[in-house]
Amino acid sequence: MKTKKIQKAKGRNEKARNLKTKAMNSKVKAGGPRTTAKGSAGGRKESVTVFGDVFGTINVPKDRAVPFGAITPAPVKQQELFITSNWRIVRPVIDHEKCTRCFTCYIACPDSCWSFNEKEEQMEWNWKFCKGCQICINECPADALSAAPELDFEDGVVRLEKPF
Amino acid sequence: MGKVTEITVWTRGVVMDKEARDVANAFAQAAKMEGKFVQAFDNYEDLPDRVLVTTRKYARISDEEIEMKYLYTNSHPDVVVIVEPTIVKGINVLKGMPEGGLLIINTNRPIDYMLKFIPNADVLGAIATVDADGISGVRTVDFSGSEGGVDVAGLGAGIASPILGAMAKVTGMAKKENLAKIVSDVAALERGYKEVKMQKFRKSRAEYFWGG
Amino acid sequence: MAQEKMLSGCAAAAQGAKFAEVEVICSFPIRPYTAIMMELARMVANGELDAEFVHGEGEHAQLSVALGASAAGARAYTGSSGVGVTYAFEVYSPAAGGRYPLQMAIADRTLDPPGDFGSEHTDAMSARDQGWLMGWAATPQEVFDNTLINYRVGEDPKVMLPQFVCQDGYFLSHIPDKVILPDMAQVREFLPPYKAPHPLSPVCPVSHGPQIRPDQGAPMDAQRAMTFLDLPKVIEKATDDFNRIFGRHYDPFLEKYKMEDAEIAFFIQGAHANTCKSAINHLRSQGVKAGMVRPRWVRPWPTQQIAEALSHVKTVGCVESSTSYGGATRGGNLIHEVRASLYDLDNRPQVTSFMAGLGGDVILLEDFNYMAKILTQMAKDRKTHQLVYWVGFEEEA
Repeated sequence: MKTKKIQKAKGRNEKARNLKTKAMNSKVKAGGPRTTAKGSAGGRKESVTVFGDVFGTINVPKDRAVPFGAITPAPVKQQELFITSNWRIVRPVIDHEKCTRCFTCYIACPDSCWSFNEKEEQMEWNWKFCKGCQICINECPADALSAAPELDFEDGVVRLEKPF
Repeated sequence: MGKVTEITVWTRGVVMDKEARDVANAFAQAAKMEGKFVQAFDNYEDLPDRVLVTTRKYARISDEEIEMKYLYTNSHPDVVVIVEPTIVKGINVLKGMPEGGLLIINTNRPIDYMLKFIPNADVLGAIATVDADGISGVRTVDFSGSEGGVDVAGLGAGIASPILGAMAKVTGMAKKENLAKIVSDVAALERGYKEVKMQKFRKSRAEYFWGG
Repeated sequence: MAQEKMLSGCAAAAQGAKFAEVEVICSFPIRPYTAIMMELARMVANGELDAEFVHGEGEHAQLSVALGASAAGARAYTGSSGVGVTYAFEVYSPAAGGRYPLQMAIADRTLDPPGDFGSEHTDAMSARDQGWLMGWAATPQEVFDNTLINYRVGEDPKVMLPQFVCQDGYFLSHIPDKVILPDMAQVREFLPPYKAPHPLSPVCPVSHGPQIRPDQGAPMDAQRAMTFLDLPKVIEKATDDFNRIFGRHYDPFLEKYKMEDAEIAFFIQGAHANTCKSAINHLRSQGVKAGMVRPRWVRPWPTQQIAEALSHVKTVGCVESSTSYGGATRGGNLIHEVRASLYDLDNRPQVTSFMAGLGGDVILLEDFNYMAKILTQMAKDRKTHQLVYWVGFEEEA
């Protein structure tokens, strides 16, 4: 929904506006821009000058700014604009003892949410983008993954203002 | 322009979409039977064909003819109904709620636990939980009624009826008797009405006709 | 028995097609009109509606199937939104020139880029030169009624033209409102069956659309133009019959609201006209003499009726929900035709335009107040200061 910003005219805009008012108020001269055909008896409306700022100005407020031609940057690795962690109802819980580092979960995940943490030498789960589809749980050959209700965990709260 | 009471129902796409639509539609119809002017529609910006994505349904109730009919959201929901409890972790569901609003969640967890995920709960008049999944664990998947179509499966199947019963008790905006004429599963409606647990925070606003 | 139901615009259009007993439906999904086809598919599957339901491979195919069906003598129904309307563009002129009275339900959607589901009238407005009938509805009840009226007018032997039945996407197509569904007997009294004069038939072969020389082209165009001269009478008779049989009170061409003593007038079409009426009630209570004219037909443009309705006001504001980039007013489409209708009046009103509701934007009551302020100032100054105002995109003076 929009908010109207009342912007004070400054500098250049003020000058332009004054020029516009002047042009609008000046009398229409004969032979110049088109005038009404009949004489100007009382009640006749003045015609609009076709010269002058009849198209007004368009000013997109900052909170509604859009990129040129609707061309947006695309993420290379991970982006913060569209977090999908609030889609999931269950999350995969990994038992690092059972895990054989076969990387099946890494291959199977449609959202690339499993990666290998080199330092700790174990699989790392991306909580921000996992949608809880449970494919990794199904595919794990070592039964290292199990599903747990997301609401059991107090972390992973994102509380977005809007779904997207 | 009269006051428009706004009800927002949060749900998840495809698997629970129909229940939320039933909640909004049936509640609005029941309020209409009591002479109010109502609107009930889905949020248009949420793309509901994706499984588990959060989507919203709206109901708007007023004593006078509603003047602004064409809006995309309920920006100041007086009542928020959550059909799937994990949503409180993912969405700031109380955004825009004026003081003394109501929150109803379908869950079997205790209210204190749910409040851990809702830090701005002090704006609420009351929070209520109802275990709709326990009362009627069936969930329906029915696409008739989505995208502006007509609901042919009947209102109130699945977990919608217990939630409607809870809403009737907590908000008082629609009578249980009128809802019973609309929904298909009256037994679940009655159970939801009886088994809802409520915790009040503050005296709810005097101008609303729910208890306080 | 007449029933009252809460239906969205999409559901109402589908009911209209069902009551009109359409014979061939061609579908292709695009949001927001897609619910119309969902409903019709359900009715055909249940046996409520006996029609051929063909799924096209694109909107161009949709129109081609509907055109072929209509040429063969069937009552054809199709629809689209947004870029679907422009994808089918090639077929519009053959449909109108070949005189096939098929109907296309358009639930407006902004044209790409990028993907915007919100309502904007440009999709259908860009086709208004193709020779079809076209008009916007303001309530789901009117969507239902327009479906029937358009078939009656379009299939009239003096007319035989295809029709666009347009409604705002989401605002009208997805938000339910009261619709009274009539008796089938009433519909049959109002809408006779479709009789194609020279259908494609193996028994009595005809050629549709052969090659011609350029000197035969102008008489073809003149013949089509002559139809539009007869059209207003057909519309009046059809609307009067409709009002009599179904108990409604539609003006054939324009809906006028509080225009008797109005000094400023809004010229607005589509769902936002309802908000405009509420805004006018508020403005009147503040002493502003505002009124509204809502055109129910864009083609044929009700030139004389608009001139009569707006002749006594001081200023007219056309609320445009469509764009005509680079046009004479650098704004929308309606103002050009309104100005042309009013040009020859003595004491013609000042006419300006407001770009509002573009891209699916909401038009708030405050926006109408803003527009009324500008119109009142114009009436006082007796000058058109600007030809177009972009509501919400200007610096407040």
